[in-house]
Amino acid sequence: MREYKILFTGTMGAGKTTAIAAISDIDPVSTDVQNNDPSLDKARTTVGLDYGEVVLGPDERLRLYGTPGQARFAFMWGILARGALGLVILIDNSRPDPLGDLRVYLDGFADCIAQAPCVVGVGRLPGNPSPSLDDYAAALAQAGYAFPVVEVDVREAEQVRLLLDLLLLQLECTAA
Amino acid sequence: MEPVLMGLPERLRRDAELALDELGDSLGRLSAAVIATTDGFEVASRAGKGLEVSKLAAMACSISALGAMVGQESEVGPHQNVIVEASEGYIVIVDIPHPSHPMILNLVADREEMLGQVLYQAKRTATRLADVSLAG
Repeated sequence: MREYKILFTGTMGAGKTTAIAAISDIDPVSTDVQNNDPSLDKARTTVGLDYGEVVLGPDERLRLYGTPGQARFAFMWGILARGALGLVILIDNSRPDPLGDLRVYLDGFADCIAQAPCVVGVGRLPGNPSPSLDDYAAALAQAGYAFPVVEVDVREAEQVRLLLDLLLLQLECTAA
Repeated sequence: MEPVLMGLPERLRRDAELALDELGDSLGRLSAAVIATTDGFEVASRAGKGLEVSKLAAMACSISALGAMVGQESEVGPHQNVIVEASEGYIVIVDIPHPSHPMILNLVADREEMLGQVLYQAKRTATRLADVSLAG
């Protein structure tokens, strides 16, 4: 069985748990608990990890891991990043400083990104057009990165699968 | 910036502090005792030098949640606690199933302390805190 580990990270509320649930072929497992952070308008938050799977073929599957988003769980990021073949960073464009949020995850996962492809999915763009995708691309270029940035609604399975396709494409290009 | 927990009833915070005082009296070899919300905010703590309480709180809640996840997948019933056994001590993380403010109790004990005693005292404390009524 060939297995590939894909990691989803990003701010609380960006949709990591939702994204995995949208495409998982198994009932996803999660570690959601009651949220006590008053600055975040969300009933629950992930404190351990999310896990799901996508079957690619009879002998091939993706293992999907979601990280907690809040920085005080950054100790989980390193643990979960081990062996990851690709990283999806989900950003919520309705937050006060989405580019600042992006920098947190670029820094927090720098080791992972140095060895594995990455894609940035920006959510809640309709209604929150700034920063634009071009702004994200510019921010990534300034940080020395050049991976895809796309708009995504993580409730839509097809859009989440597109994020994975962009990762797998980068993997194939590297292997070729 | 340290995360700030607001909205926790004062009565609960006071009882948590008292509970840690009592635990310190009954278990002489605790190097840390932390009560935190299930999402890792410190409610009350006693910790020796060099131990970062906020980190302990966050780590303990992750471990507790992972324990619950594994227990659920293994179909062994509702999660109760997680024990980490190390060469020089134990870490015991017990659920405090308060109906409106679920929390965890994290104890770090010397190896010389009896694990059974640590677990007994931790569970007793957790049950008492879970029963704290916030009415009136």
